Amino acid sequence: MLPLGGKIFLLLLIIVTLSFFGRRAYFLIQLLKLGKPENRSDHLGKRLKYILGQVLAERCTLKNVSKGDYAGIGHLLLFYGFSLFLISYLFHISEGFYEKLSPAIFGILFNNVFFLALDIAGLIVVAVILWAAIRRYILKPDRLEPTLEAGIILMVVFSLMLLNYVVEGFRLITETRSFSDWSFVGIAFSQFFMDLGLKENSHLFFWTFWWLHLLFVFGFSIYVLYSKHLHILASHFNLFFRPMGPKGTLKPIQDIKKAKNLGVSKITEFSWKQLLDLYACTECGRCTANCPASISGKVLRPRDIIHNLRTYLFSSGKELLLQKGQKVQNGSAGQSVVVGQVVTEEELWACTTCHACIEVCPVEIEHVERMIQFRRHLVMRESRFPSEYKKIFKNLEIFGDPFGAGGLTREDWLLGLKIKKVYQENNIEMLLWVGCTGALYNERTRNITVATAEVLNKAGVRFGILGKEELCCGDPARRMGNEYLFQKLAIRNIDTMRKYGVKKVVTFCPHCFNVFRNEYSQFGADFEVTHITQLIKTLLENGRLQIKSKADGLMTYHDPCYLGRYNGIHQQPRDILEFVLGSKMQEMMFSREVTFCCGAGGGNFWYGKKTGRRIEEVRIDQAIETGTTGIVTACPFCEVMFDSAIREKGLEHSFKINDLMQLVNQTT
Amino acid sequence: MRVIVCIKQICYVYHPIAIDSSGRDIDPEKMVYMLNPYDEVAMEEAMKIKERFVGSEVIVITAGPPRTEEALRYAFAFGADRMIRIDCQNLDPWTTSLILAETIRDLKYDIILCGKKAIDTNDNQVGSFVAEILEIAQVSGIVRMEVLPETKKVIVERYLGKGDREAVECDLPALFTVEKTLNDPRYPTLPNRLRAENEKIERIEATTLNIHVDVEMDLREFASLAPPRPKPKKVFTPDSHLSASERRRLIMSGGVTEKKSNLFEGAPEDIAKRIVNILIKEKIF
Repeated sequence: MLPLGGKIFLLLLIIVTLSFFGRRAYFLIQLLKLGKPENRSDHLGKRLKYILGQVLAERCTLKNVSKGDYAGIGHLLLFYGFSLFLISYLFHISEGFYEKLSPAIFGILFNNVFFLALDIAGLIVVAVILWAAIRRYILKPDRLEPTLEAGIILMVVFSLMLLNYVVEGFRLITETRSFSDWSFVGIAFSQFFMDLGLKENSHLFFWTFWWLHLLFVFGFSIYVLYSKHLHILASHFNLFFRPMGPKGTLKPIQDIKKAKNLGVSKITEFSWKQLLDLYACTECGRCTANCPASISGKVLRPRDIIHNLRTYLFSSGKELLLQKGQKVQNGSAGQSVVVGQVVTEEELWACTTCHACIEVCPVEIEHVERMIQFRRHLVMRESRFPSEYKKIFKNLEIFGDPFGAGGLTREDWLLGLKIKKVYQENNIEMLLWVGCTGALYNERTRNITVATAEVLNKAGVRFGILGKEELCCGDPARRMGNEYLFQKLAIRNIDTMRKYGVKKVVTFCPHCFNVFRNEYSQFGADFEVTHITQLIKTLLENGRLQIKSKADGLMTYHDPCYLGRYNGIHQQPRDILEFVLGSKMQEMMFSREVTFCCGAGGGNFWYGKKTGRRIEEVRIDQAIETGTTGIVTACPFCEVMFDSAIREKGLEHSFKINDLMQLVNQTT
Repeated sequence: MRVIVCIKQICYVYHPIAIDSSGRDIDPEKMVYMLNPYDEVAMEEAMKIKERFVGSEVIVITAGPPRTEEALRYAFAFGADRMIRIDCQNLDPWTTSLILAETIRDLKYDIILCGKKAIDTNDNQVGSFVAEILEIAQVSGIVRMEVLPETKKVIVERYLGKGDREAVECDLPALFTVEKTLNDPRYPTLPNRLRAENEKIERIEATTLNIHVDVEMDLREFASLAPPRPKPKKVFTPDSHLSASERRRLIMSGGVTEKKSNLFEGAPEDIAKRIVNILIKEKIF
């Protein structure tokens, strides 16, 4: 225990630390309040359960370990180890006020166990820090950027471990009663100090290093709020307030005709949760490492976007709070615009909305929604978007499809097939939603539709189509940021469904499927939607579809982003391939939740500017690497992209693009 | 500057369309309407003038039935100030021009902009007729426009074919019909579209105009309707002087001549150097 002067000084130090910490925390919270309100307090029980799993059970990092990224094990060890140390700091502080860690408080057994655990934890933390340092400065994997901040944090944590042992060593020398007989590392240190002949002044050494250690602890606790280590506080909240709805669902703009904000152009137009995202980012780089745009050499790097926005928020924070305090009349007028400045337009349009970034992010930062918010502002308020998109928007408005083919052409794929039209017959059990690509794009995509219809006929499923009354589901419009156009299309489609009493819909296009299942309910839709693979799997399993001969060739399967990652439908297509393929399907390295995008999403199907490599070519290379002779997929867009990639490479004769439904049709 | 833009809501006839029960017209249920693309170019040019000269005004005018208000509002959403619809049915170019001209006559204007043609009827007449009726200067098919308000003159350029252009200086007031390549029309922003939805359209009855012809009679007569000829499939016959392999290659490629082109990639400075070298080599400089 310290003398009275020391105790007062310690108290002052604690007060000073708390005040610095408090002021900064207050500033950070005030910045969050600059954001728009958003209700994230639904399902409180589920949320609590979720963070217990993510944080306490460290699922946040373990989820990536199961995908082959082992760095998460280091974090797990660090987290548990450092948590123990946080508790130990309470002891360290109390040492200054009370008897040195008296066994009377909790009993000698507790002390022995606790300090043994602490010693072991210290060794583990040191090992992990060394591993981290080796990775960052020697191995240098791409996704890790060894910034000064990262270096400081490593050194500080290392110093804390070392200082803890030093203090422990001297404590053991000075302490006359036995209180932690099992802490072997501490004992080793104390032995070492005795050998150095330091027993004479051990009290002096003890208190010197004790103060030094505490200074590091207090200093670090303040530094946490000024560095990316803020994640140790912010990430819990970020995970707690994660979106609980279906994955990747975009929120509508309510009352769009009266809405003041169309998307986001200034940082305060984000919601507080989107600002919290910026706090929770630890700059691990997994987002960038898994982003198809980044991998193929585009300007877009998700981590950089978060980093730049956070830097901007902090550097202009004071000014923004001042303006809010003065109740600047135009809301956010007078602030500098973020879109096009802090985040460039080229970065924004390169995003394919594939969702890989969020899938691998340990703190579940909502990247995609942010991109779409920027896009909404650019498209609807400023009309600033890639020139190729204007035609697509106009086609959607005038003709109801992005290709401008017109409603009457939607039935051309039928040719001789006799299929009931919902506007002609009444008792249609199930609607087959064809979609724009399946009906209009080219012969390849129309063949998918024909194959699907033929398979359903073979299985005796009674279905009808909307034919020329179909309008685009609206997914391209929404993902490109044209929320107004999307709502117009959605509302009209829902009206059409209601008019014909459609209750059950099946579709083969993952984009249509995703929008119907997860987003149309925002506008009052109440029909049930399944993806064709869910239906076909059932039909194969209960024998309504019989395989007559299996398909030849060694093939691999590509999980479409909107089917697999967004909606979790990985297994059904694989089950179907079990039935259909003669040889076992070969998995690609990036499959299921970590599937690699084909590059068509988010409007990129029509985006002309291609820097770096084409995303579809990167994916085809991955497919060819499996040594197969063909790729199977269940999305018309993916197939068109792969078709073009194969032609670019001149491989039309050696590598085949197969559609799952066509395979089913050929084999049944 | 006050600019008047004449627009037409056209029926898109470049898709398969259905004929109605009378056999004389397109089935109205299947019609897809849109703003004439040339008129969008005219609107965009009007907006450019408005944005350049402070205090300018843009008025959009159309002559047609109530359904044409959708196109009128879309044009207005570019950023215009007033919109006027003269109520009448779909009419021939001369009668339409009389109607438009009489409406415009009472307005003070500096420039009138029209699309060169409407892509459903392809008559190419209304712009010129209106200028004649109003007895003002006209230049057709402009591809570039420069307004000089101090001298009340405009300098425009138009194509003469084979890459040649002529520049014409014109006094105001004048009427210009625009080519597609004059500019790239904007995509109206949502706030402007909403404004256009709520703004009042000034409506005039064609019968109240001071015109000496019957504005309810279409001067065109329906003659006959025939399905379009199937597109002939071109069979390419190559020159017999060429070698067999060359002839075979031409037949297989459909006789398509490939443009000689080099695509340069790299740093801007390098590309610039290489382009200059080519220009010098080809004696363009």
